Amino acid sequence: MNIKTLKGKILLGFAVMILILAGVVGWSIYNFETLSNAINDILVENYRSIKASDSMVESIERQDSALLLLLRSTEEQGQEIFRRNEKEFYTWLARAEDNITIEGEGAILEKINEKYFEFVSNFDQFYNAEEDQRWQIYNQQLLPSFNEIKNDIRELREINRQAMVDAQGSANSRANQAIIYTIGLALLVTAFSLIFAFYLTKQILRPIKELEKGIKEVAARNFQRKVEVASEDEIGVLADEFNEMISKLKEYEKLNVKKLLMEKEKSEAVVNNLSSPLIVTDKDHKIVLINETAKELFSLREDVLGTHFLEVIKAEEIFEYIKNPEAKEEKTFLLKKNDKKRHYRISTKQVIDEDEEYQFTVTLLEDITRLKEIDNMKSEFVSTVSHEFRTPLTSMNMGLSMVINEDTGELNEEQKELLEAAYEDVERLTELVNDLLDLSKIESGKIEMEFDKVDVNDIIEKTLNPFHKQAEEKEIELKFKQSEDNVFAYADPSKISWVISNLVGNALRYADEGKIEVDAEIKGRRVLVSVADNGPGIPKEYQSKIFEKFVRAGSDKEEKSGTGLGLAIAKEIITAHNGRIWVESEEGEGSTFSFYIPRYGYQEENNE
Amino acid sequence: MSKILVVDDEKNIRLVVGKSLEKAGYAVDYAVDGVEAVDKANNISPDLILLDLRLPKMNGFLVLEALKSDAATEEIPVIILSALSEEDDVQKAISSGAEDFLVKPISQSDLLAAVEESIMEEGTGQEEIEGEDNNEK
Repeated sequence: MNIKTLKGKILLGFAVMILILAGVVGWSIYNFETLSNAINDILVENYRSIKASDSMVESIERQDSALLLLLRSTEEQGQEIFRRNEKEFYTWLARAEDNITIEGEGAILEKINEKYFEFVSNFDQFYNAEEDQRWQIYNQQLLPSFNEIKNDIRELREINRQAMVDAQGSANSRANQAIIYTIGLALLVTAFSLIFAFYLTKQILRPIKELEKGIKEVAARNFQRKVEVASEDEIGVLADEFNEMISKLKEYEKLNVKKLLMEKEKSEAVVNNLSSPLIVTDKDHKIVLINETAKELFSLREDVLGTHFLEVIKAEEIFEYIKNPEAKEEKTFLLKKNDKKRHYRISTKQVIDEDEEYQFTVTLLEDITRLKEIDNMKSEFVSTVSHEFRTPLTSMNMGLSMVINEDTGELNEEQKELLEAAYEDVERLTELVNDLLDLSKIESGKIEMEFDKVDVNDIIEKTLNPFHKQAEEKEIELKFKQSEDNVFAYADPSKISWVISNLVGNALRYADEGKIEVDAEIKGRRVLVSVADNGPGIPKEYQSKIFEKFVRAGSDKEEKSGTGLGLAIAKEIITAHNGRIWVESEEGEGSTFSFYIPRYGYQEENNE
Repeated sequence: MSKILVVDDEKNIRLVVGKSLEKAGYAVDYAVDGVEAVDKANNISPDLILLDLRLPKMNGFLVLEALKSDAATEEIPVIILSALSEEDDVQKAISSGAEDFLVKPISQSDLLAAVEESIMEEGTGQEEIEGEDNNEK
C-alpha cells in the first residue's frame, strides 16, 4: 500500500467499503435477474407448450367429432371440420415444435407428429371407405390413434406442467439461495469492513499513540526518547517535527543545566569559601545548606543536609533566633571553637520566592571576636586614660580652687577671671572623664544592674525635684503629667533615674522657654517613659546619631556645655534593661525622647 | 590640732591636698609609698589617714589591712582618696575598715567636708585630750 497521507488512508477505507457495497448490490441484482428469468421461462415457454397441447387436444377432439359426423354421413360438414381442425392441429403442433424447452419434449412431439400423420392418412382411408367399413376403420384405427395422440399430448402437457412446477421450485430454491448468499455476503462484508476499519484505525492510531508516549516523556522532562513513527502521513510529519522539537529542547535543557550547574558551583564556592559560618534552613528548620566553616564550628562530620537544625546543632539560643525572624535586634553568641571561646554576631535573612512555595532562612554567624577584643581594648584604654586623668585633675582642681579662694593671697580681677576660666574647664574635663568611665563600665558590663520592682512615677517625681528651681529660673514649665497610676517596671531605679535626669537636663539646657512634659504609661508588656519639650528640635540628619558617643546636634557644638556622652550612656542603660530609646523631633517644634523598659511581671522573657 | 597623714605617690596631690588641709587648720604629714605609710602611722599616730590605693611598694589595700590588723593603728580612721572608682574597689575598701571613699578628682570643699566629718566622729574626747596636751606644751 503506497498511500501516504492520512486523508488517502481514510479515503481508501471508504473506497473499499463502497466497492464491497457495490459488489453486494451487483450480486443481488444478478440474483433478482436470474429469478425473474426463471419466472419468465415458466410463464412464457411452458405456458406456450401447454397452450399448444390444449389447442391440439381441442383440435383432435373436434376432428373426432367430425369423424362421428361423418359416420352419420354428413359428408361435407364433417370433411370441412376435419380439414379445418387438421390445419389447426398442425399450427399448434408447429408452435409446440418451435417451443421445445424440455428434454424429451421433442421425442414426444415427433411421436405425435408420426401418429397424427398416420391418423390423417387413416382418415383418408376412412373417408374413401364405404359406410359400413367406416365404423370398422374408425373403431379399429382412428379411435385408438386418436386416444394415443391424446395421451401423447397429455404427456406433453404433463411434462410441461411438470417443468413449470420444477421451474417454480428452482426459482424458489434460487430465491432462497440468493437470500442465503446475500445474508452470507452481507455478513462477510460486515466482518471484512470491521476488520478493515479496525486495521485502518490502528494504522492511524499507532503513530498517535507513539506520539502521545513521546509527549508524556517530554512532560516528564525526559528528552532522551525519540518518537518512532515510520508512516509518512500527517502524523509522521508531526512526529518528525516533534522529534525536532525534542532535540531542540534537549539542547536548551543541556545549556540551562550547564548554566545552572555553573551558578550552583559558583554559589557553593562562595558559600564554602566564606570565612563566616553559614547555614540555610527551610521552613521546617531543616538544613538545606551548610558551609565548611559552620561544620567546623559545630564539629559536624557526616552529611547533615535534610536534618533538623536542633538535631545536629545543639544551640537552642541560636535556634530561637532563627525561629523568630521578626523583631531582630543585634545579638551575639559566645561559641566554642577549637576549645577557644569566640564571639559570633548572628544575622538571619528570610528568602521567600514569589509563589511563597519555599522559604529559606539564611543564617550567618559573623566571628566578631577580634572586634570584641579591639572594643575591649578600647574600653580598657579609655578607662586607663580616664583614670590617669583623674589624679592630675585633682591637683588642678584643688590647686586652682585654693588660689581662686584667695587662700594663698589676694588676686586682682584679671588673674581671678583667668583662673576661673581654667577652673571651669577643669570641671568640664572632670565631668567628661567621669562620663567616659561610666560608659566604659556599662559597655564592659562592669556596672551591675540591680533590677527590682520600681514605681516609675515615684522615680520621675524624685528625679525632677532638683530641676524645678533651674526651670523656674529659665521660665520653663516643667510638668510631670502622671497620666497613669501604678506604673511598675522591672528596672534599676538609680540607672533609670540617671537616664530621666539626663533627658530632662538636656531639655532644660537647650530650651530657652516653653515647657517640658514628662510622662510614664503602661503599654502592654512595657512601660513607656517620655520627655517632651518644645525647644529647638533636632535636625533630621542628627536624629539617628545622637545616641552615639560625642555626637551633638548642629549649633550645639560650640555653645552648650555637656560631654556628648549622656545619651550614649542612657542608651547603654536602657539596652541593659532590654529596652529601647529613641527620639522624635521636628526642627523648630521640639523633641520627644522616649524609652521603654519591661513592665513588672512581664520581665521573665526579657531578663535573666 | 588634728594630725593628718596624707599618703600619695603623686607629689602634686601631696602638695594641693596638704596645703588645703593646712589652710583648714590641720597638721599634715606625708608618706609617698605603702611601706612609709605604715611606718608613719605607727610613729606619729595621726588622727586621720588619707590613703591612695595605687601606691608603690605596697598598695593601699595592703596598707589598710596592715593598719587595721595592728592594735596600735587600728583605731585610726582611714579615708580612701583614689582615682579608682569601681564598685568592687569601694566595697573592698569599706569592708576592710575604711571610713570613707573619695574618688579623684574631688573639689577642695568636698575633701574638707569629708575630713571634718571623720574627725568629728572620732569624738570630742580625743580632741580634748589633745587640747590638754597642747595646753601642757
